[in-house]
Amino acid sequence: MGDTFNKDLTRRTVLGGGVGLAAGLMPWHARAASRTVKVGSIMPSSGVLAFPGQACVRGINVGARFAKERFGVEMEIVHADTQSKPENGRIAADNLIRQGCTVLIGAWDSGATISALQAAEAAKVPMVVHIASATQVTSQGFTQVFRFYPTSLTIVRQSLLELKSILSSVDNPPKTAAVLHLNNTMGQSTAASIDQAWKEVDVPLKIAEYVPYDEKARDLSVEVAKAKASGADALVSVTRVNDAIMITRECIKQGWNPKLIFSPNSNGVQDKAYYNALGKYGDGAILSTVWYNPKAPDTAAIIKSFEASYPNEWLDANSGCAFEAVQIVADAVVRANSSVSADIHAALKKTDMDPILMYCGKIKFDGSGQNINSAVTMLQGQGGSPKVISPRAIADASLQYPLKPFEAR
Amino acid sequence: MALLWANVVISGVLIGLVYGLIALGLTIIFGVIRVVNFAHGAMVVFGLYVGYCTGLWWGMPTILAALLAGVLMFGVGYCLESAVVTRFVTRPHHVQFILFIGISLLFTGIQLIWFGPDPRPSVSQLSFETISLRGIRIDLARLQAACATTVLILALAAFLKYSLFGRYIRAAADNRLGGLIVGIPIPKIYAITFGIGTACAGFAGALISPLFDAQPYLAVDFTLLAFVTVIVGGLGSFVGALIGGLTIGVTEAVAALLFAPSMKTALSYALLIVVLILRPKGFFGAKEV
Repeated sequence: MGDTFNKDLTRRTVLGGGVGLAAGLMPWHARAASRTVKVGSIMPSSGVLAFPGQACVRGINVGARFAKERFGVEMEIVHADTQSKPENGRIAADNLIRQGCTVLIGAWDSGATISALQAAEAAKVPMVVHIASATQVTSQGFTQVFRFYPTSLTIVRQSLLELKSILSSVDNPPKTAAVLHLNNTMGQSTAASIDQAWKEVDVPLKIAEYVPYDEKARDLSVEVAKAKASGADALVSVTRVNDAIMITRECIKQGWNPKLIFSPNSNGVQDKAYYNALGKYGDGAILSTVWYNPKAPDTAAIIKSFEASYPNEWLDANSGCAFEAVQIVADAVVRANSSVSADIHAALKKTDMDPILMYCGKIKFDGSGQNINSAVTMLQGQGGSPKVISPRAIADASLQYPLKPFEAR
Repeated sequence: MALLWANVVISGVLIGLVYGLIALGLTIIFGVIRVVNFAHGAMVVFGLYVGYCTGLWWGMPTILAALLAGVLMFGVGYCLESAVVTRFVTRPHHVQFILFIGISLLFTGIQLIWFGPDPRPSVSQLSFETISLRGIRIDLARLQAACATTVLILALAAFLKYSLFGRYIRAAADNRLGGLIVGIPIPKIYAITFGIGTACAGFAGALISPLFDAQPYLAVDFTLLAFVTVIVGGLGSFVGALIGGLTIGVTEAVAALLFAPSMKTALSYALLIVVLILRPKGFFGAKEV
């Protein structure tokens, strides 16, 4: 026995054992340092959706750097542009898969996402959907989809619960609301969700009129005049940034001062362009969205890193969700200990992680690939930037009600 | 209700005059050179950026920014015609179409490189201002654009009618070969006319900067809008551009009030189809430059 031991205990054995022991004692993140994965990012970086698309690209880039530090995962990000055309989602996904990407992130708008998922499904490459709210993304039987973002109905229902809570807490609440909404897929889906959830939640506010408007409308004066003429004292709007600006301008020009402006599942209050255009008139409107948790432990450092990379931009919902999607992928790669699509897919199915940046519960996907613990926050424009006013646990400002008349600012 | 109707119709008239202004440059160029400038929208967007930048950097009033944009775009148009367009004037229409689509894409690409894809909204206080007359609110930015359109059209009409250069331009529009035979410098006339057309586009763009956010992808929208306006009004006619713009502006406004607002763009195209069927040359479709 003693001979055998002496015979086996060579310098190589000792060295190998030492390396093994050292590896065992090394921190987990350092062990993962050599892990590399090629990630395809599909965004509308050009075309009419370039504004949010480029924000998402920024979130992906900052997220990849953060994932390297936090998870020790080296991500090679390959960006693809849908040019804001839904049909290009599939082309972009096919190209990325051919280039060797073993996991995809994207694609902001629901049409492009569903199109990309068809390619992901055929190639059995998992896709983490950071933003896209149409129900069909997770209801068409795709097996490769993992959606972080809630459905429009979920967003609207949660938003209306928050709105109801707000209305019950203020003096002299509004009595009726006019709903001005985009007439595209997102706008119609959100308006339908409002119609359905309004009754379910029993919001103490009567809807006077729905006013749909064209996505490419150059002028919203008649639409706002119609909403004003309905006698509503609250405005519920479903908008992109440009039309949110146009609507506010028209309210000012037409001397309409609703007590409350509320935008579920929309852009506007959360965007820098909104304040650049409206200045002091941008304050007061309320918007519900998936937003970052200002009180999360890493938020300050992430914002600092983001601002260092993009000094002229804000960390917003688009870049925040893209950032979080990267962390979801990194977490799966670490647990899978592999960069193979099938292994990442298996790991994604078992995801059970605390969000790093965004406000929501533990990230977990159900059988259809939908994150079951998504949550919305209420933002209000205050002092030229969006502030979280609800939920109270993460709020960094208090509700200001009613809306200060525009001419008094 | 009557007040609502009055507000909507006046708003439609004012936005219609703005549409007329946007279409003016397109109709001038077609009326004289007989080329269809598909890059017109991209030139209007250049004007928008001039309005945006001069307002942001120097707080320049919109009307001065519009004059500056007009001068700058005149230079761009003159050079473009002299260097490129002149070689395509006698080429088939489909070749001209491809050329102008290429120029439009080039301009949009330049705007994307310089300014990025984000919408750049005007910081001018004018974009929030109105005047109120017996309950009717009139948007000052639109009123200014509408007045400028009227003045510009009158000035251009006077220039074409009374100046020597204007007569040369009309002669070139009537008969290119005849003009060449009697010694009119047609290439120079074409370059100046193209410059005037692009100057109108730039002027219009800067003037409407308090109304529309500057964004490269608006080029297609503006080109389409200008086309619908001049086809309804009549290609090559100043008055046609004005009437075409007014017709579309008022139709859109009234349709938005009578039907669903989301139908108003569709209705302006429906109007185009009706005009094409009933009056293929538009309301003022004769040569009138």
